[in-house]
Amino acid sequence: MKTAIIKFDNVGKKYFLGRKKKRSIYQSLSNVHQEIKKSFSKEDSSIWALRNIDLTVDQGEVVGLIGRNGAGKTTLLKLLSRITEPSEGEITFQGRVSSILEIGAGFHLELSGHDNIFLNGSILGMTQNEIKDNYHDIVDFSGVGKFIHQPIKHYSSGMYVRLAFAVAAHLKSEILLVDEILAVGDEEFQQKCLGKMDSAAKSGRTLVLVSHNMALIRQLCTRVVIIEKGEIYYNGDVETGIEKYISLNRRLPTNYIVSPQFVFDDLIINKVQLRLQEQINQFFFHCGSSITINIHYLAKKTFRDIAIDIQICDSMNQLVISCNNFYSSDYLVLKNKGIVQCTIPKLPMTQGKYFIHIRINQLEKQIMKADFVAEFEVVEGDYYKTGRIVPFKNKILCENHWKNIEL
Amino acid sequence: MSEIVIKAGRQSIQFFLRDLYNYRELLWILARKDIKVRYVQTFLGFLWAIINPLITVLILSFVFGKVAKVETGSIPHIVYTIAGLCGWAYFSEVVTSAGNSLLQAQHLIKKIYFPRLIIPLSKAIVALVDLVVLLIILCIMMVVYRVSPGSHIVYLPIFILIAILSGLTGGIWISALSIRFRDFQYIIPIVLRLGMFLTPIAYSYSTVPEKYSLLFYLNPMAGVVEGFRWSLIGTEPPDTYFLLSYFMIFVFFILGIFYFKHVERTIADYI
Repeated sequence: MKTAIIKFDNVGKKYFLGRKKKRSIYQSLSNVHQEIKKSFSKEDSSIWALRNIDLTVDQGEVVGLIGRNGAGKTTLLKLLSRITEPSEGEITFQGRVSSILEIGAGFHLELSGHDNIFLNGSILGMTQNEIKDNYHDIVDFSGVGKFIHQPIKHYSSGMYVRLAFAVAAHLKSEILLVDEILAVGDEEFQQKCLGKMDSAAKSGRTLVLVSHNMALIRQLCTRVVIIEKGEIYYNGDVETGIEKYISLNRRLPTNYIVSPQFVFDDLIINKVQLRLQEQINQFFFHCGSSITINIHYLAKKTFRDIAIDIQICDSMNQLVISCNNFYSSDYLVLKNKGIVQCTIPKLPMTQGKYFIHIRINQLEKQIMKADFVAEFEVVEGDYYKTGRIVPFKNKILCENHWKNIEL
Repeated sequence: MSEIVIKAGRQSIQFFLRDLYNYRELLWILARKDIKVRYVQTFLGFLWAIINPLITVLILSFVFGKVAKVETGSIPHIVYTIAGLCGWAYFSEVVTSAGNSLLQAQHLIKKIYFPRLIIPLSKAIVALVDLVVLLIILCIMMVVYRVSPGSHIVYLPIFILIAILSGLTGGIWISALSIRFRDFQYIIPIVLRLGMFLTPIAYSYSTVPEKYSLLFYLNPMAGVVEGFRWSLIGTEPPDTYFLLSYFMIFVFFILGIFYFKHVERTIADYI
């Protein structure tokens, strides 16, 4: 018999706007009459980040939580992990909940790897005995080896992440929440993590994971829940869910004006256009043709050392290629108003729908993240300029030169 | 498998305490972490734990003993001062570190759930290290100046317990309040600096003029400091009026727990 391990009963979470700012007594006192008025009136400056959430997760299920930026995924995850409490409704858990919302949260840089395993493990809810029993597995899994007694501030970022995930992967709680963590580590380590999550699910533990990676969702999940505008938009099988999610994103107009959440400080991206030669707003591109991505920006101050990462993802939201001006040319300086142009002279992708995400970094720091800013479709084309159309067995094409040297 | 029910609105105190009990190991781990990283990468290392209180003792002893010439009977002034400082130093350390603890741990609070009260509680354990150091310094000084402890020494654990309670009371209230009002970060050092002179650390309570004595009864730490000194070196016993201040510490401690429980639920939203 299946047992409900997580149960949301008409759960809602309300956030108060503006109140966050009132952090000093003076401000609070000087607004006393307004505060009182506010508390009596029903109309206050609050928003419901989530509302009317009814959700049941059975034991052993792997639920993929997907949704666009700002849809309420994070709030739901925070409720699930008990970081914050609901404003209405009731949540019931059967068992311990562990959450990995950020890899390495709770690590202390001055402590050794050994000490951090114990520190992080107990913060995440493991008992001392559980950590001791799993200590060698954790060290082996992390591959940190002889550095385990060194302070982790001397670790490479790869070692740090591996150690952090190793601790998280050995949690013994019945419910495990994971937020987009597989974006880190090298390919081999990612496979190891996937295997660990898979076996955790098979051993009867319950997983809830948030990801934008549809291939991962398809590989691991048994069910998909889509959150849209603070409510459950879809709850059901994986394939239909992914389709719904993709079409949810596709409804955005292509000549898409970036919503305010993509505005960073004094930098605004007005629109993103795709061009084929002189024609603006082209959606269909032949494989092998050139494509120009125009990013119209408005900068109220001067931004130096800017690296723009244009990520082209396929319909499963899997990254296919990314173009970054830092690697291919040099940092950009953005000021006033202008258009950043990126031209890919020969499109290597084969038939299908593609989406563009933009990441803007200042030196190492990401300052803007804009998802699904444009979409386009690639159709069959004469990539090699041989007059022959390439069949679509491939995902990506590359130049290849042939010679037959007769001996 | 334990069932956890989270309802919007109030959570029972039993639930709160059971949750705290489930995470009891974390209390020790966090305290151990703080002690370990405390003097890391300093040249003198743990010596700082001795140098710090020594300097305070020397200053207090010079000002009150040599300049103001406070009368302390047969007991050398420096021993008198150290015995007085034990309770106060512990209190002010806990209030400062526990008071700031939630703000300092905000990266954790936003990412992982555990009973938040663990954070300020662990600071009370960390500060015990300093108390032990101070007690050892006192022991050495008592041997040097040939001051023998009386039979009242058996009461010392009780006063240590009261000091822990009073430090935590301040720490819990301030940590909870400072989430909404960051002003407390700046108010507390001022209050503690004043308190250091208004508390009879390097002078006796009995030397305070009659008309101000009520003021001193209102200072809950006066009773703790007098109690420490009485049990350690056998000065005059604390006034019975101080029982009231011990009781008030306890009441405010319980109220503090309830207030903390009230704000705990939304800490992550406000911090």
